[in-house]
Parts: sequence; C-alpha cells; structure tokens
Amino acid sequence: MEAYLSKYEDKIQKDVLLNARLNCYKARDAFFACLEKNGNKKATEVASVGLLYPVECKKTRELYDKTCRRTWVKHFDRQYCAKKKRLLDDNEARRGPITLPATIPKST
Amino acid sequence: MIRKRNGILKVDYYDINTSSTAVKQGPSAGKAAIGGPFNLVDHNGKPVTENDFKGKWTLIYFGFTHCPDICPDELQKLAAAIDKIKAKAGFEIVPVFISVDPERDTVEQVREYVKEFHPKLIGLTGDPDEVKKAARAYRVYYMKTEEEGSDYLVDHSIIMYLMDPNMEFLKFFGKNNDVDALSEGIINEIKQYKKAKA
Repeated sequence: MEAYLSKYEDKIQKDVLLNARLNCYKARDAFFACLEKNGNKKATEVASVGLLYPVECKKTRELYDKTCRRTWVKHFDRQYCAKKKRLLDDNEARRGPITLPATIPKST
Repeated sequence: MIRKRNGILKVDYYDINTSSTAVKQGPSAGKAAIGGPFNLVDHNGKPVTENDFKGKWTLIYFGFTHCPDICPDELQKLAAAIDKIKAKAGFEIVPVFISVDPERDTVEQVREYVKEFHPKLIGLTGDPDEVKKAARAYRVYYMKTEEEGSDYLVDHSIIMYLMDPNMEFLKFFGKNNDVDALSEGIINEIKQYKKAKA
C-alpha cells in the first residue's frame, strides 16, 4: 500500500496536544471568570462571534487570545454565549404564543 | 415521492399492498448496518484493515486532533472506561481513534496525540478517500467548519462504537454517557453477548 503523503508531514502541531490544551483552558477560564465577576460592568470591547466584554477583562482576554488557537477561541466564545443565552431564557421564562406570518407564501 | 405535474405539486404514496408480504428472517436482535471494511494507516504508519481488529472487542471513536474540547473529553472517558472494564470484569477492549481530518492528522500527529490518552489507544488515519469510506460505513457525519485562513474545525458525530470480535457492530454510546455508564453499559453488552453464544 502506498504511504500517504501530506503537506503537513514534517510538522507536529503541538498546540493541540495536552499541555497546550491545559494552558488554553486555564487562560480561557480566567477570562470567563473575569466576565462573571464584572458582569455588571458595561461590555464595550469586542471579543469574537458577537461576544462583548468589559475593559476590566482586557488583560485576561489578551492572554486567552494569545494562548489558544483562534478557531478554538471562537468555539469557546460561541459556547459561552449559547450558555448565557440559555440561562437568560430560563430565568426570564419569556415564552409567549407562537406567531405565524400574516400571509401564507404562494406555492409555485 | 413528490413531483410537479403540469405545474401542480402531486404526492405519490408507496402502495403498501404491493410491497413484499414475506416475513423476513433475520438475526433476532436486528443488527444495524453499521461498520464495514476500511483501509487506513495506524499511528505507527502500518496499513490496517478491519481484519486486524478481529478476535477482540473494539471501542471506536471518530474525531480529530485539532479538536478544542470534545474529543479530548471523549477520549479521556474512553481511556478511563477501558481501564475500569478491565478492573471490574476482566474484559480486554481495544480502544481506537479514527481521524476525520486526515489532511492535518498525519501519522506522526496522531501518534503524539493518542499516546497522551492511553498506551493502548490505537490511532488511525490515512487517505482522505479511505477515511470518507470508513466514516460512511459507520454513518459518521463530519464537515469542516469555522474556517479561519488555513485553520478550521471539524463538526462531527460524537459516538463510540462497540464492535464484537467479528468486527460487527453491537452498540453505540453517545456523549451523554459518563465513564461509569459507559463501562457498565459495555460490560453488560459483553456479558449478554457471551450468554447468547454459550
């Protein structure tokens, strides 16, 4: 069987291995802890995927951005937003009647 | 079947009466058509097929090394379960990781990755077409996502497949199972299997 070749053959991506992962999680958790602590402050800085954060957390954000791969940062930010949104929905129990569009679209 | 005829939507229904009335004989448990042959490369660069796994129980997880959190969690769980099952019931299970990102998951990459989870964890990768075939056989969904320059994530099904010593599918375990549920579940499946065969 032919050995399969990859253009990445020579390089091992160490930033996805155990130590790098643990460092990333630590930086990530520090940032989100800061968000929780400063939840009452105005979120003015832009993170990613629509997440905003208060300027008080800039340092932790920078470390997190530096330590983790960008695709991972976006993934974790998105996860955080989804979690927050779910919690908000449950607390406020904003469940109203379902609304239908005023007109039914014509079929072709 | 839904078709447009003369510009009007018409729905054709299958005529149940014309379908086969013969009772189909099959295995009593009704095995799902999951699994099948594959041609991959292990983390030592050795070509392997499904035949190399026959004779032992196998627990397979599809994932990718560049996975932020889910794959590491699942593989840690898998590793812990393998040890727990051995300790509790004495069953030897071969843990297998199959990459759904063969472009980045080279043999070396997979080797460095799997060795951190369990000494017995076997990592498989290979030609992207072969990976596609294997994923299709196991009904594993996977797709590149979150593309950022040359980086990307892979969205994929999060399932562990328990295969019997004939490399036939027995049961799958979803993400919601913790180590204990996974271990107990596997021990029970194997005990039932042995009982049925006896």
